[in-house]
Amino acid sequence: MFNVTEGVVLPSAPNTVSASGEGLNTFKSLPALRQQVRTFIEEEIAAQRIVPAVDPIPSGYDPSFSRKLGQKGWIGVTWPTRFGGNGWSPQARFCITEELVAAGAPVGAHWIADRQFGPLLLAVGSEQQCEQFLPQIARGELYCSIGMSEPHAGSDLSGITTKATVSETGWRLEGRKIWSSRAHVSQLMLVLCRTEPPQVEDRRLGLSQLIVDLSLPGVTITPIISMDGEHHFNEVQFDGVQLPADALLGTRGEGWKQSSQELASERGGPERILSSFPALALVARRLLDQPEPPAEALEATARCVVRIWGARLLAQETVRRIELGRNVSADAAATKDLGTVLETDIVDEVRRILAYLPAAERAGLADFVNLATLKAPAFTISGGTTEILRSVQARDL
Amino acid sequence: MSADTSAVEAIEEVTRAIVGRYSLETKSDWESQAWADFANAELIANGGLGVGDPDWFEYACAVLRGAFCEETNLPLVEASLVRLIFDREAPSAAAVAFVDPDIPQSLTYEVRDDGRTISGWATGVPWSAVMDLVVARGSEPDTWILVRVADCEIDRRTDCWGRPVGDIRMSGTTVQAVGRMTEERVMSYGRVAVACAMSGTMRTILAMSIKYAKEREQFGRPLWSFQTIKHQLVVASELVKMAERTSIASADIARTSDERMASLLAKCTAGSAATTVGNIAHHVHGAIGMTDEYKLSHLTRQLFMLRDRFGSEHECLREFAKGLASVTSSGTSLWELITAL
Repeated sequence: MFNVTEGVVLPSAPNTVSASGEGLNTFKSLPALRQQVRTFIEEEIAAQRIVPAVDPIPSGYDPSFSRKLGQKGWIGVTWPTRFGGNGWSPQARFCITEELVAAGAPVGAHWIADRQFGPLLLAVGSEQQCEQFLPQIARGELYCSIGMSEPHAGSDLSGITTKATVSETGWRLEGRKIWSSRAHVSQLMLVLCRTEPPQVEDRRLGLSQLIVDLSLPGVTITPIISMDGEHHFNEVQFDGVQLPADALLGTRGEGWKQSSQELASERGGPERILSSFPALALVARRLLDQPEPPAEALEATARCVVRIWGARLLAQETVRRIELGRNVSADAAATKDLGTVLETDIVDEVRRILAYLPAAERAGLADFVNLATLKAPAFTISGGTTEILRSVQARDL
Repeated sequence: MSADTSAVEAIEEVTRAIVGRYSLETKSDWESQAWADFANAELIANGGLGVGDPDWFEYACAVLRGAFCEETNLPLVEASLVRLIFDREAPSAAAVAFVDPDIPQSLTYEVRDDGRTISGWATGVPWSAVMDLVVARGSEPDTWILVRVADCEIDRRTDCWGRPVGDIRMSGTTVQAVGRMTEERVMSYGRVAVACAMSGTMRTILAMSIKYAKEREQFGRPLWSFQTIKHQLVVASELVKMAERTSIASADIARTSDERMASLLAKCTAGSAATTVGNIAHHVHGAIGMTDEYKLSHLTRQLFMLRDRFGSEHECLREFAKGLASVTSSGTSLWELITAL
């Protein structure tokens, strides 16, 4: 008998395949839901109730559309029904997310609350906080922005100086947040702040997360206009803002750990692959409608599809691992790095395809594509720069 | 990592034991001995590569991911196709070489009362000089034939990838078995099988590059301490993850909506990843990686050889682009196509 197999248990073939759960079946088993979402968006576009946009998460703000999604049960889909969710699988959420972002639907109003704030509440929030906020979010009525970056702490997040001190009523918040998307139209901000002095050995210690009502006295929101002319960024000043004790989310001093968990939700999803897809879909349609599409332009389209396919599979794997309760920080960082470099490259491939279209077609598409080129540099910055994402992954290698 | 990681790791362990056994010995006839070892470890028949049912192809692909963790230099990819084409007609665990459709060849067939014969030539058929049987296209559409190597004349040489290849001549050689499968289907399964093998090789290349970067010191500190080196290896690791995930998904080819398009995607992804991963690995290793005495050079040679099997990533992209035009001409949107794959 051949001796190299001693001590090695070789798998029995058919069981291994069925037990692995590999392949795309779990994601393909939702065609009805996917089709419902697709049809709904097509109807909204046809009736001119919504206008597709590139990078719809910061750019597309439409509370009435968010409320419609809420009525359909497509926000907070994985949350327990007692908090207004549907109790569906993460795969269902993945399908809904993909359809909305690929179509460029205006999801910016509720997105952060649905993607980051809600899951974090469920993970570390109190029962009372969940009851207070989750049903409103799931109805598409409560919006939240993220308070992480500061003027002197962008990628170096642990260098934040915004601080909360214990007051008679709960907390007193002082400091300044910047590049806060949609703070001017959100009711809440989830603020990462210092609740203990920085430790020399590890600055990540002593941080906490507070839920801040942006209508409170002492909050000043100033607009910051982006390169593409849009207003979604803001600077948010906190001057002695008085917060109740239950504004604390999770555990005091665990803010860094909680934020990392939150960032994994931000980084691992399909929206980090598809921001520029609406531009590709539009231009490719015009290309494919040509009597004889040039091979070079077809190959540019094909290159995008190949990479989108691969990145989607990685994102799906991340979702599966989240479902298994694994730490997905490195996987989510890999998905976002591959995905956002791809999103940026897609914009350039779209410009390449455009060059092969007749002049009259090009003119009609120029505004949409030009806007995409002005949004593209942000893809590899927001939610963690390429360099941060690679450093996060390097720790796991 | 996928749920079947432990199964692939078990196959890697078996592979390392087999390949390690021959690397220090004389190379004479090592291929047939190694083949017998793989067969004895039940990695070729009985649940290994000898698949007869499309469901089993998924498992064959897992075997290939494990078995190409080393410089395996055996036609295991081809073996995964043989049972698919010939079902029970091919001997179990047969050592079989494969005349790819794009190999230079001129083969003619004759059907006689006592059976079929084949005459003609094919040049540079990988591993044919060291295997027992050879597969080639049949004379009728969508047919494939099997002949005994012992019934052919073969001149053996070694190609630039280090493979023993044979220039085959046949003259009234008896056909042992005839199988039926479209050329496109064989190519589709072949592309997926190769993509899986490539992901296995890339996994090892990445692991040894990270290990080297952590051990090798320059400027008084390990290479790993330089962020630029670390980030390059992260890029390689992302591509290895993607090649692995896409090859696992495409191994489920029997259940895809379009076998051909899915296989082209898998080969495009693995092929372009191989170029970048190979370049980064060599860059991190420096000159030593280019030497024959160092294992990386053997793995790179295998990876780049596989990159061209059943169509390079460039050929696959061209074919995929044509398919894109054809699928979407009926009004199917790009997004509908992507989500259906």
